Amino acid sequence: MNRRLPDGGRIDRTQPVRFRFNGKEYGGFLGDTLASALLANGVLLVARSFKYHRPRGIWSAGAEEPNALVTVGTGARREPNTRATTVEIYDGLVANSQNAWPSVGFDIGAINNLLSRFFSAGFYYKTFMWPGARGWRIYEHFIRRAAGMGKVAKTADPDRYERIEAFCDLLIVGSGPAGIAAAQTAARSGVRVILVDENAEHGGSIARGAIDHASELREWASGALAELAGLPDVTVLSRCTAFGYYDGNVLGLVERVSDHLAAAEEGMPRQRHWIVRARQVVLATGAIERPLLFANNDLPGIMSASAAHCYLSEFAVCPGGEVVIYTNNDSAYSTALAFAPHASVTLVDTRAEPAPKLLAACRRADVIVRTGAVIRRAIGSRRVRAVAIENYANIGCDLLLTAGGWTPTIALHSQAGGRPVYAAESQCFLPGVARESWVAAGACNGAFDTPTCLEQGRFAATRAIEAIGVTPATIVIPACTTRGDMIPGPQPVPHGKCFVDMQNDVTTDDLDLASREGYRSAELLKRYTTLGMGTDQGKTSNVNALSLLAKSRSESVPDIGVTTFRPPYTAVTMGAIAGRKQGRHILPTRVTPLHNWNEQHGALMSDAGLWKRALAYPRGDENRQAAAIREAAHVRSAVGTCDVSTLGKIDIQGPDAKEFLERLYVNRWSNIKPGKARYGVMLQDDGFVFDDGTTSCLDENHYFMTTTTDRAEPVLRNIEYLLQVVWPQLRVHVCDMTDQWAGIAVAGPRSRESLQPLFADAITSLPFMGVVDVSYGGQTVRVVRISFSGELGYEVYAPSGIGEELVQELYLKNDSPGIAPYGLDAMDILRIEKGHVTGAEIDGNRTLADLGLARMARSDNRFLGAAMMKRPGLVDDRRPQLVGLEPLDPAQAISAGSHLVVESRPREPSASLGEISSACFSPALNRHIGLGFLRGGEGLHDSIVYAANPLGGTHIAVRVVSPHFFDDKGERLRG
Amino acid sequence: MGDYRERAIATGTGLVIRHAPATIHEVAAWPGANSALEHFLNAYGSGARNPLLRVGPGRVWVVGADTLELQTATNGMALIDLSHALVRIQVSGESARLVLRKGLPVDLHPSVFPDGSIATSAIERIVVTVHNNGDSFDLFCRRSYSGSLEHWLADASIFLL
Repeated sequence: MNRRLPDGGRIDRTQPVRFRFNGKEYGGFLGDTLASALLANGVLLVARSFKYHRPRGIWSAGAEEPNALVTVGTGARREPNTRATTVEIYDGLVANSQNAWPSVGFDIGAINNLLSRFFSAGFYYKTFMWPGARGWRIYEHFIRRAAGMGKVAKTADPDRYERIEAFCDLLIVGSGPAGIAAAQTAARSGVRVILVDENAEHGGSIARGAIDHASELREWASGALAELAGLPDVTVLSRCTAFGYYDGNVLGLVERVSDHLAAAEEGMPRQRHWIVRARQVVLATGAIERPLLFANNDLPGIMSASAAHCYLSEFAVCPGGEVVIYTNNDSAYSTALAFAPHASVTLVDTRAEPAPKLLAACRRADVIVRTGAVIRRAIGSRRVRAVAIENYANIGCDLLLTAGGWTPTIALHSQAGGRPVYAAESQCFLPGVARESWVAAGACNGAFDTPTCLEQGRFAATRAIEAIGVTPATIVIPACTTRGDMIPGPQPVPHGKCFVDMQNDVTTDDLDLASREGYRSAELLKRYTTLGMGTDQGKTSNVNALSLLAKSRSESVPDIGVTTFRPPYTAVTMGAIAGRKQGRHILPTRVTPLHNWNEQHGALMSDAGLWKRALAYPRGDENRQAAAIREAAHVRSAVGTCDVSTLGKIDIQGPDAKEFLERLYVNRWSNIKPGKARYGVMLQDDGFVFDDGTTSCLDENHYFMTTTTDRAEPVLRNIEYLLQVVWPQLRVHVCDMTDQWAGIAVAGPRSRESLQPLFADAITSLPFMGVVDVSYGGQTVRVVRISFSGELGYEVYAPSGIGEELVQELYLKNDSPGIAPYGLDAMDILRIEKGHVTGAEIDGNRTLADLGLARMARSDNRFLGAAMMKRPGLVDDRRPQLVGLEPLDPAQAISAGSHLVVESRPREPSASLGEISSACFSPALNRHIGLGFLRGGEGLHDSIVYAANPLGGTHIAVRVVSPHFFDDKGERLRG
Repeated sequence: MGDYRERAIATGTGLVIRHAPATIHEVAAWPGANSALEHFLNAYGSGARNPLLRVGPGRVWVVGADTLELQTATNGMALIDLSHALVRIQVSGESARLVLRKGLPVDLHPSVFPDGSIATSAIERIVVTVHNNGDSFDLFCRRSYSGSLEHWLADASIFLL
């Protein structure tokens, strides 16, 4: 049935649109919402309710919709739980009902409706307590299937989402009469304004025609919007919902950029997440019409009067021919008069004596009015057919509108303010005390007629602008008439199956039961009955529920309480929150100056924090382990190079630099001479080892520190903290140099001769632990003779921009079989062979003694962590100590993470005496080896323990040995 | 100088983004040396040949200066060459703000961030110091992150309001 009027509305009749709903094709026009287009096609039944699978239609024309939830799109773009009332149609739109099988017309789940007396409040809590845990295992599957609304797409979201970081003097939420008046005032005052509205059209009640407006008012609004659009410091956004109000006047908005388009332009985001930092905010969020309650109040064909008025005037859809309007206030009269030319209209007013002026207008328009009348029941099964009115004959109808008064939309106010305040005379909650810099204006502030809204908008902007120290401009607001008395008369006490929360199928009976069972606080009531939960968050139900409870207990509404509003106001797509933080940009990537060179030489790359590091450089069909073993052996026999650019590097300068190092490291620095480097260990405050590395003395007041890759940031952070907070008097300046230098370790017996072609004599004479700055191609290159591998070795630090060039030159000057790159895996082998510790051992729980480094500590105790390192638990000689481990079978691999136990057979539980921290195959020793921590380890050399790995199913006999497997006298590195 | 050559990252309607190498030095005063820094700023800054960016208390970045020239002017202070540690990317044109606002939480409105302004913030977790140089917004970031930042900038330039 075509319900579209021949003319009128704001739809574009020149642009017809075809869309599919539940598999059937329908037509509409550009500018239609899915709801208006369905109503225009005579489709009333669009959904099934959550619990009882009752037939449901379209209730509202906005974001508060409790019933008409649909899944839009298909495949990866499928989005569940969208409101048909806010989805704009486009050619090719596909939408489907949810929560119904096999179809919304015939839904098997509707059997729940017949069983509804069993599904009372707290049904799950009561029923599934029995018979204990075993019962839950049986029920869980079925409950989980029934729970939840809609089904999400399980494939990656193909759409583009963006974030916008925005700033303004004044953010105005809502572009109804109050919002526009506020925006015009602010814009003319010269401040930076952002005006947002969740609807496609600005104007709020002016655009939606839900109330009478003189054409002057419409002209004023469109003129003001045009003026705003032309100003450079004003941003006007439609289809943009302010969903969250956070501390510091930060608001989250989501702008639906291309949801309403059949095809987005190339690169156009689907949605934008705006993060707005506003100095002041005007909240002009309007109000939502409350339902009136009666039995079967959820039938399709029953909707809010303001929504129907909106469909009539904005979309030129008259959803019914025989209209009954049920009201307790004056707002429905204009709706009745608007429908009168298109349908037979009966107005049922609960009040005994409505204003004579209104009654006269109804008489003139042939609208029948029943005063002092109460609707008891809607009649019909899959749609409304008639209404039963107390003391009157039933009236047949195909559209039943209810006008139960207005609920100010105070979600944002509540998120950023005190508890809402109940206004008994208006029967609604009004904004509480502002805790952030906002001012409320318009219907959300209890102003239910347009002249007051306009005045409040102007006033709110004036206050906000004054607060930021700008002189507000004055604007002329248009004259318009008031709408009459919007304050609702009494809500009749409902009987029968009345749905208070239509989305969650919570009835008046459920509320009574919960109340009888003692769930008296509003918060408990919500959790017990699910009232106010779900996608609509009780926008149409909370106030009715509270007033019913108050009435049944003869208490006042504020005594019952008010539920808390939390972000988001309406559901926000996860994609919008993620923005571009996906794929490559989920985290930034750090690459070393030698990254390209590494890749060109076949490096197998891996993530180390944000860094990309080369694990190994496999050749041919070599696997990772074989490559690492070859590379390690090559270092021991010839020369290898390793990219160590990721090491933390810190420049330390100042007259007190040496004193600072003395306090930072456990070992002595007072006697270090320029041109020398030294290994250092630093502790955490708590006495555990923090990090190790070498620091070079460039001159008396200038040092170059290196840290491990992992601890580069924490060490720098700690140093800056110490200098700024703990020792601010120290004349020291530090600077992060990690990115300034490419680091290349050159190690192996032939390392010196390999570097000579580049640096000549500077290298030849460099002693062990010596540092020298040499000139290379006009740049300063720093060479430190130092060894992590145990071989003769150098660390060459070249300015990042020439790092790759320097390595190329090094390989050019040396025949390539003689020099070869080695990766992290080979470096690990080399250092395990030497018993050098890394992050695997320095894990934040080891003392100097645990690591065999106790002798490094100075006796003066003037270093960080000195006091706490002597706590009883830290000097206990039963602490696990660093040991070397050799499997009795040299070919048997052992794995890091294995526990060390004395039992020769796998047995659980078994007392762990420690664990293996690192393990590898050593090419130098031709056997598997490992490092680990063992209780009393230093005294247990040569004894046998077992490496237990219950997960891997291995239990391997290992001999405890010194951690220095290879060249323990260090002759090779000093050579 | 490897990828230290000047090059375009993205261009579009009213938008130019380019990688613009420069020498960058940090001049810093340790506690008690602030007067030396003020003296330097007065003496060196008066010529204003090169931008001086006050990046923190007692810390200044000098862009485009010669190391030798600075050495004499910074006695009694720390002088650190960061030319290879930092990458400068210049974003200019009418759409510059539209690109940057997609990730940089800094108010770049001329009334708040006029010529010469500087701020340190982050774009998608990449630490960025932004300087309004009058002709462009100069972004300084750590070299190891610059690939990610360039990629982000190119991506952010795709669809501008």
